Amino acid sequence: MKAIATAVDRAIEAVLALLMAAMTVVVFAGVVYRYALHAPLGWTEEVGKFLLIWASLLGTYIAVRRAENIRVDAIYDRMGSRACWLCRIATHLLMGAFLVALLVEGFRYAHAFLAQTSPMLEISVGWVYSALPISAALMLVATLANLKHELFHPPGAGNAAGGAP
Amino acid sequence: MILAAVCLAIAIFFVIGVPIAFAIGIGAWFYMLLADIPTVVLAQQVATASESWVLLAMPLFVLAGLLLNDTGIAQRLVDFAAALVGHLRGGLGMVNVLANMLFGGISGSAVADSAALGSILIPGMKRHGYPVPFAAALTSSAASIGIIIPPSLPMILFGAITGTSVGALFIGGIIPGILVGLTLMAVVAWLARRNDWKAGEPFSWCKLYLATKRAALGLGMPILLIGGILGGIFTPTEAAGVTVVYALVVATFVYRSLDLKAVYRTLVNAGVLTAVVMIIIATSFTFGWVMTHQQLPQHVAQWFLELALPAELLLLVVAAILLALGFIMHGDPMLLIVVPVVFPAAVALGIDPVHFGLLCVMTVAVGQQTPPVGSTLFVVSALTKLDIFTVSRANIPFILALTAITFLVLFFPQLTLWLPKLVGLR
Repeated sequence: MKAIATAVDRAIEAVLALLMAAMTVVVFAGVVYRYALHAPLGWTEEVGKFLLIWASLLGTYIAVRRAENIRVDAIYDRMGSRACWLCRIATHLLMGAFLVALLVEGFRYAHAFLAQTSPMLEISVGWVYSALPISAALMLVATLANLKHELFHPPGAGNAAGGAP
Repeated sequence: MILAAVCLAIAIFFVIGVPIAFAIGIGAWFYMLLADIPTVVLAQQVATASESWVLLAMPLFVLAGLLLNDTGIAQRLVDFAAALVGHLRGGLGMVNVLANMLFGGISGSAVADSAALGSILIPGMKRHGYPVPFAAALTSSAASIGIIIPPSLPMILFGAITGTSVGALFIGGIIPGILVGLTLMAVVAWLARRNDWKAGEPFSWCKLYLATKRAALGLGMPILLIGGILGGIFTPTEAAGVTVVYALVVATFVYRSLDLKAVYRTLVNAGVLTAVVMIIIATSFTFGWVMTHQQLPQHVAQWFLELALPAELLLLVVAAILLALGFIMHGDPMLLIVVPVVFPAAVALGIDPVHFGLLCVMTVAVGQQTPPVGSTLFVVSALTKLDIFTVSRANIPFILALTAITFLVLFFPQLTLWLPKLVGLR
């Protein structure tokens, strides 16, 4: 299980790195073609935006895995370990429910745009928006795994085993 | 009524530690369920918010900043600043401020600045006998110049929320940024006199020449960036792309400090760092849609128009709200929640969006200092292992200085509008 999760994370990280590199290349190419070569590329803006959607959503998945999403922790940090544990479970449940909604609506949204193509490159916009259901599904699995971990590791019982926060 | 309940729910989610992005998103989702709005709006808003040419500048500037961190350019800028102002009384304090101003012209994030420069400057100041809380506090406050002098991530965010020209915001930030720098230096000079801190090594043209040569590539970057935007050669987003390429070229060919593995790690980290902000933006846009559906921004604008309140009063109210929220919130979510509600009122009262935007960014700079939640404050506390309140006590004069400039910006729109008007961006 853990090996699969790690492999998936590595793969998504690689895709994220690729998207970031592609963003740089696309935006820079836009400048070069317009000013150095006097042959503006019409599609750089379009592609840049598409890359941004994918990078944002896949990056959020990695952030969920690494527990790096920004939280308000001033109050949370002052709670007892049992209260913290309950809060974490509530958080995972809320996020899980929300991600189910995002998965379903994201899928419907992407599906609705499948036939529509982008103005310049004529890519199916539905594929661009499929970043929504795909990353929502990934985050949902990660959240459920977090929830399971919390349920099996209540505070006090086997704290020595530790594990992901 | 539903909106109030949803806001309360979001506040509770914040408290129990739900990540900000999800807390806001879940609130918006609840509203849709309760108000019988098709929840597909959720997907639509998240997609629309992320699909933004303006926001594309954000990952690119973050990437450029991280790449430059690995190049040792920060050290070279510190050496240059030392050669220029190190001989003054309280020399290293002056160097700290100037280095942050120079680095701020390359990087768009105060957090990145405080991390990169703090790890060089704080140990240096400690070695020379400066009190560590003072060194940490000064680094924290000076780092906030990074979001006032262009490029600036909060300005990009403000531009994306309101549709204001990011180029004009960038140029508008130059004068306030320099003002903050000079004011912080004045405070350092005052503290140096009071505590009888010694001056550094004497000034030497030879040393300045050598330091300038070594830092030239770092110093050239803001000129390229601002010049390119001023000359209409590229948009801020394109400027960001150019900056990344510049950083890569400098790092690989000139300083030879980067290998492929490091670049790969930096790409992933920049992606994640951007994503945690992008997802907050995306869900906040969803919540913004909810507020617009309730016509909240329109109501606020109407109150101000009907009561015939002066524009300054609106600015004061907004500044007070943002300064207060700055104690307990990070800048990005704060702007995302407050700006959409009050911006239409500001426009209706004839306030220039660039002036309004710069005021908001100034309050974010103060908010980065005020405990218990301050992003640069956290960085310097982690670097020095000092309690945030110990740093904050030493930070009081600098926070007051930053606040003073914030009110100067509030009451004197010329400070932010003169330069953009001069170059025809306004």
